[in-house]
Amino acid sequence: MVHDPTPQRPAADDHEARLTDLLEGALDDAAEADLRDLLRGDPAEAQALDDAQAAMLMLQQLPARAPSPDFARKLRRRVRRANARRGYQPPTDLLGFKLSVEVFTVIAGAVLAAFYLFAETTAKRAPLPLKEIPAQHAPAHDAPSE
Amino acid sequence: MDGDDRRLVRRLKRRDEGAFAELVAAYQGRIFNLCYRMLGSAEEAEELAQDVFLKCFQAIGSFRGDSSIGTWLYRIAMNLCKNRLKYLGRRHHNSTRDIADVTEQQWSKQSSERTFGEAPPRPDHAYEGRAAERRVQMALSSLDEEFRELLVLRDVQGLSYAEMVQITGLAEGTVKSRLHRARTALKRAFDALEGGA
Repeated sequence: MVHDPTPQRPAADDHEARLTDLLEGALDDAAEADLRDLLRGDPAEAQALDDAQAAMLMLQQLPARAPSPDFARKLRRRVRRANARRGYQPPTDLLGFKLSVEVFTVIAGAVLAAFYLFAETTAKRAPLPLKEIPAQHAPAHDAPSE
Repeated sequence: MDGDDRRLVRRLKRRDEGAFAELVAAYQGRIFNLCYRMLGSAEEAEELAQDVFLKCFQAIGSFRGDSSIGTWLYRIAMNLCKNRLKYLGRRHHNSTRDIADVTEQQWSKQSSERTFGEAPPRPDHAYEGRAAERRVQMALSSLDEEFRELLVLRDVQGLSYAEMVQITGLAEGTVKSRLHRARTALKRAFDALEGGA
């Protein structure tokens, strides 16, 4: 039978997780009292807990760093460059509505098609220009007098 | 994901530039700070934080909404930071030494960019504060990236364990036990620097 060299591992993990809970005040009173009893008999563990607490406080006291003031402007420039490489155009602002280029193109195409059809229909209904009317259909008053 | 998040994500998926600007304004400080503490360099952190938002904008279509948009951003940031650290490691770039090599003048300049709405400290306190901060950052940078990740997410960024589980993919118990080891390792590294100072 193969001997497991780390038989205490899960228990050790659980113990360390409980130490974290103790440090962060997440244990109930009974569990906290049990763990503190255990630590009184184990100075090395108690020292590790003190170390962990000191590290936690050091990190929590680090100042929050802020990016440079032109972070957003530089990022916008990079986004536009990336979009240009991908052939993507930013949305178009039309009459206060944000329209994507695809939607804008479809609408513009539909408007042009409608305009063309309207022009075609109107041209068919319009009377022919006089110069193109065949002579036999020309009105009598337009015939040359003899 | 709450209602505001959902609306923001819908607008981002429509490629609404206004939504993107809102997202950047809301998270740029937190994402930059995370990158800074992971990498130990303001320049690297600024470039990487921009990469995070760029990646978010490009990949927003694949965001399923299983977590909040903020948690998703943190996950992208952590992955990019780890990749960057690996790349720097391959180039034999020792970030601890880099931070130690930063001159006091450069460090003062970086520190002057500091915190949100904080009153300027007294000069002697400011110097002590900067020196202490530098030592903590050097100790942090000397730890392996898995320990650093947990310390930054929990003690620097103040994230909940639920968020950390989503970001790291580890079980909550594992996060807590590793966090204990990471904290004790940080204190040992800090003491070693103090002893060597």
